Amino acid sequence: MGKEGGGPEAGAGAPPTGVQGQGRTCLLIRKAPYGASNAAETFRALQAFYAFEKPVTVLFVDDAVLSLVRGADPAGIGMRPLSRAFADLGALPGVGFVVHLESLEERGLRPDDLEPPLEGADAFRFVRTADLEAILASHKAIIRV
Amino acid sequence: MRLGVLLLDSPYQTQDVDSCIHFVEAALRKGHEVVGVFLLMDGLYALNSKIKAPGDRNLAEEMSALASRVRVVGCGTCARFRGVVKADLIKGASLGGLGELVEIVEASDRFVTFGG
Repeated sequence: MGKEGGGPEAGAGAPPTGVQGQGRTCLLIRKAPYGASNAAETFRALQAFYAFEKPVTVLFVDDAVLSLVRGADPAGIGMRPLSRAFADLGALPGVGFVVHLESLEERGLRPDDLEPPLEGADAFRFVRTADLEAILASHKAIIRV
Repeated sequence: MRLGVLLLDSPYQTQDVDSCIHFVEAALRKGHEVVGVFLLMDGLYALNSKIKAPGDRNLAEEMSALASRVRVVGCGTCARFRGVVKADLIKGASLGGLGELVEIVEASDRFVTFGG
């Protein structure tokens, strides 16, 4: 999987590489972290796909982009931060992240506000709405958690 | 066609459990293969054999009938978080890890999610 198309403006034109392929599964998440368990369950599913060596993309749309905000610390409500956990898994081979740029912007966020994956991340892409259809169509299955 | 199904919501709260069951039944009637139904998060509650529904449809019984025909697996971790044990499950259903969800997805031509 290549690295072309990375960076905040990667959404323009063709869908980014590194998150495509007939064998990939897409985990689509739209809900905010901590208020519901969807983000945590998506993280667990991501772990399972990685453990089974199945390529997987996590697509963060709407409030789900908050799952990646750098420095989020839910310890006060007895929960563990998902942003660092997601970022750590994003550095693993076969794992790709796609973040919807408009969802970020609607919440006053920029790509720089997110927890970056570790060095060597296979795919961490930002896309516009116009690219979502192509992203979804490029996956074998879409699991909306 | 081989179909995989994921159920995320609890019975009676929404129509999702009903829709899931009816979808699988319809698919089987049409001759499709249903690789498996995986119940994640609150969807797990649809496997609770203690469900009583006076005067209404019993979704646990309907799910049990489904489990006699297709693979029905609840998320074991979700069950532990909700205090559900194996003895609580409807006949034909089992608990498993998310690896079983991966298997169902991989074996399916189409994958359908209900709830969430």
